[in-house]
Amino acid sequence: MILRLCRRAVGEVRICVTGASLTRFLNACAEGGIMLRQMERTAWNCMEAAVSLGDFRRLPSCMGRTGCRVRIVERRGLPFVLARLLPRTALLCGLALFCALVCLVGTRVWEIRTDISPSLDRDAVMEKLGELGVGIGTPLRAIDTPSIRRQMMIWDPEISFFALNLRGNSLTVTAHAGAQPPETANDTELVSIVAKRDGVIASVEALRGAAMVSAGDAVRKGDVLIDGCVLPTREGGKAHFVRSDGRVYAYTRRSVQTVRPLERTEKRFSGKTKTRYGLCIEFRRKHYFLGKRISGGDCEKTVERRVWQLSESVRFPVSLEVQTYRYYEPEPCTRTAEDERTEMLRLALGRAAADMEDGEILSYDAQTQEKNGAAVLTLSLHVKEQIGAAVNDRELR
Amino acid sequence: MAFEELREEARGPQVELLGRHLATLEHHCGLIEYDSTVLRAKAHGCEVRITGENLALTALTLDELALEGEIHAVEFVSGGEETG
Repeated sequence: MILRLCRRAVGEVRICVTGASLTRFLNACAEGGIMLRQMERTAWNCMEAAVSLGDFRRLPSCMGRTGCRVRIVERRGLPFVLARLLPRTALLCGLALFCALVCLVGTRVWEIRTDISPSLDRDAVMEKLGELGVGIGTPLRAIDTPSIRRQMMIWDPEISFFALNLRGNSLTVTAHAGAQPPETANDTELVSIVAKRDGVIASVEALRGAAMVSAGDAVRKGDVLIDGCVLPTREGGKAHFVRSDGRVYAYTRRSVQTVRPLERTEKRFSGKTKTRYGLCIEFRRKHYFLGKRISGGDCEKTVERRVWQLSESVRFPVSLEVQTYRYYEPEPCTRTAEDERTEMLRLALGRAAADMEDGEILSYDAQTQEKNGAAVLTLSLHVKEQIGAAVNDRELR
Repeated sequence: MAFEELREEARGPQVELLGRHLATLEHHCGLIEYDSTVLRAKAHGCEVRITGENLALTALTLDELALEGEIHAVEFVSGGEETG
């Protein structure tokens, strides 16, 4: 099998030899060192055999006066395939270009992904890596991972783990910072929990300190809920100061108001679209667009980037950017407050929920009215929420 | 004297048969006749004649040849290439 492949690589021809003295031809070939294979006698004066391309070229000089005629029956092998393809310049150029592209894609870094802790400065890490010679287009062999890891950890002592993972032509930079020491609270400091809103107490969970309120009590903003000054529980004892801790839930009322104009401009799409294609060369951060610029009229632009890749981790450094422009006409429209109610209510409830630290909306009442060409939604909420906030005693007194 | 005979014998043709379908001939001095029923080759001191049916020459070099087919007989006929 391997021998056959080698023979096909150098090329071979099957010849037909015709003549009365075939034995003289065979003797001449043997003397000339020409190897005849797959010999087949087809007639008394005719035989076929396979010879390599090199032996076939030497054949005329060895034949001498044998009186035989040699005719090629079949050509096999790579040299003949290439000879057939030679006039197809574009095909050969394309093949060469593809080989060069595959070589280029497979031997350099064309994508860098990052997994860097938020406490580290990503831009600074990437800039330092660039100084160390790691970037888009860097040859894969030139990346000395242990050395780079060592230098990065020396450069920023906050980095506790650093790794460069190569997969195909994609490089993943992983940098994790060491865990920050937990913030220690000064237990001897006098801190009390006070109410940050008016309300009626629902429950008190005093983990440290003396609870000053109980369920059902009405409190105002600023009232002490859990006091840091704990009174003695026995006769002759002394009061001691602690850092209060706990959670106090109360029923509160909240009010949210949202306003939205009733007259506004809406987009009426005309159905006309234009598409623009661009090649994005990532390592040069340049875009090359085909065709004319899009100009004139109001339009909505959608950008889609198509990445070309051989596999999940081997991608080409060039991507196709498709920009789609949808033209529209701005059309003024007038809506009523009722039309806007649902959307405004959704937004107001979302805003109220986001404003609460820890709590739930028990019920709400929404009033919508039109005022000065705008819809005004007033939302009253009944909420059960945590109202305790830690305050230093110095701020309190 | 025995050594001289042994040396002459070594220069002479050597035929090796593998069953009756494959024959190799070493130390030949060229083909005289070849077709599907007979192959005659010159050798030192004699001529080798292999007869059979569907004979096909599969390899041929200056010193050796291989023959495939149904071999009926191998004969050594006196009067081949003169020994030098």
